[in-house]
Amino acid sequence: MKLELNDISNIPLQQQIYSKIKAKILSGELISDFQLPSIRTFAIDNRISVITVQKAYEILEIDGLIYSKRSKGFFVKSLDESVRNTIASENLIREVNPILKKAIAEGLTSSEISKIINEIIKDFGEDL
Amino acid sequence: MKLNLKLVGVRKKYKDFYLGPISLELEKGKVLALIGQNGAGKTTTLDCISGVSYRDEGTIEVCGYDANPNEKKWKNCFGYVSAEPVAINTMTGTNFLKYISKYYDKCNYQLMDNLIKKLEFPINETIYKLSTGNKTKLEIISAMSFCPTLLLLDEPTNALDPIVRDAFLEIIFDFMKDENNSIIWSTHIVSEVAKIADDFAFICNGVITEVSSKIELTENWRKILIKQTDYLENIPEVVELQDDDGRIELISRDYNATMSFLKESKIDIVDEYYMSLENICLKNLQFFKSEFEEEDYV
Repeated sequence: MKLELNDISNIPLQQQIYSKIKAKILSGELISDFQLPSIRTFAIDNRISVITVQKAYEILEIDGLIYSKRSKGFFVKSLDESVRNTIASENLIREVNPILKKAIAEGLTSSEISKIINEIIKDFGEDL
Repeated sequence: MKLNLKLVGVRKKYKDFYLGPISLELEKGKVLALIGQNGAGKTTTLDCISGVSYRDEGTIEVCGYDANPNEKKWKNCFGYVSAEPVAINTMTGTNFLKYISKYYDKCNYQLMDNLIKKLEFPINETIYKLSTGNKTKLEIISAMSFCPTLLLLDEPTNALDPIVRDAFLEIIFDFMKDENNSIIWSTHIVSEVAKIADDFAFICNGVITEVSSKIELTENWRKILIKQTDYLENIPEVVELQDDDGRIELISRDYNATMSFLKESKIDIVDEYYMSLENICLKNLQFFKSEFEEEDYV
């Protein structure tokens, strides 16, 4: 599995890997019980140190997105719709937060912001 | 044997410079970056491990063998790319490699040819005619071709052009595919070791001030933006403070300790950011440097 990692970003590589794999799991690109590459293979494929991958898998496991089987490796956990929804909502809130703060600082009112967001969603049309 | 390198209480006096006591361990499969200013003791440390100079005190074991000129097995365990490439020499690269191969038990000729190609090394040129970059390439080839498990790299990329530097990084990743291998890599350029290094050792005034994993560094160091407060001096683990129009930017070397104090003291936290490994290493070196200067002053 090769990921697009940004090695000059301030975001630590383990966090970048965590977010990318999490996104793949939420979007369904990685289906439940899919076996992730071994820590070592993943490190070699992405030319990063083993310790970085270890940490990324560790936090994915703590967050309940993957599980490990002794001496077999790491697998994607099956998420029920409500859990998936909660995680997606949390993601949205976290990412939208600074954007909204900025918009308010730039003088938009909450009703103006809501209007813009609704229009964007309307534009997605039948995709939703 | 899980260790490829073990130093205990190593001391060395070199002119006016005192190194040590240095104690350090390097596990199999790990890459340790050695970060420090010029004259901090990086090269002296590597020289002691490689036997270029002999320690005054302490023990050094490479793959379990004493670092001692009479111990042939020790010599076979490591390869050294020194910052000062090979001395003036009237041999060609080919003859030099043939000559030094007598001192080793094994040679991986396939890898040797591969390295010569990848690094674009002019093998038939007489050594003294080589540019510094090409001398470094010869050092790399001689350090890696005799099946070492430990590589000692002393600012190896300084003289390499960008294309060869990239080829070199590939070569190093290939070396680390073998789980038994380890590297100790001294450098000023944090970005080039940021991906491959597992651990970082900081060296200042001849002593190792800290060894941390890359994860610890990137998780513990954080920039935190807070509102003005009277308790600024009491906030723990802060290495830098900057007043930005009533907002204070802190650099913390222990995120959890700093945050729990801020929360207990009900100080408003505006924002927090991760820091690049490069910036972390810089701030850490500055921090230890100032600690040493304070000690001198007292």
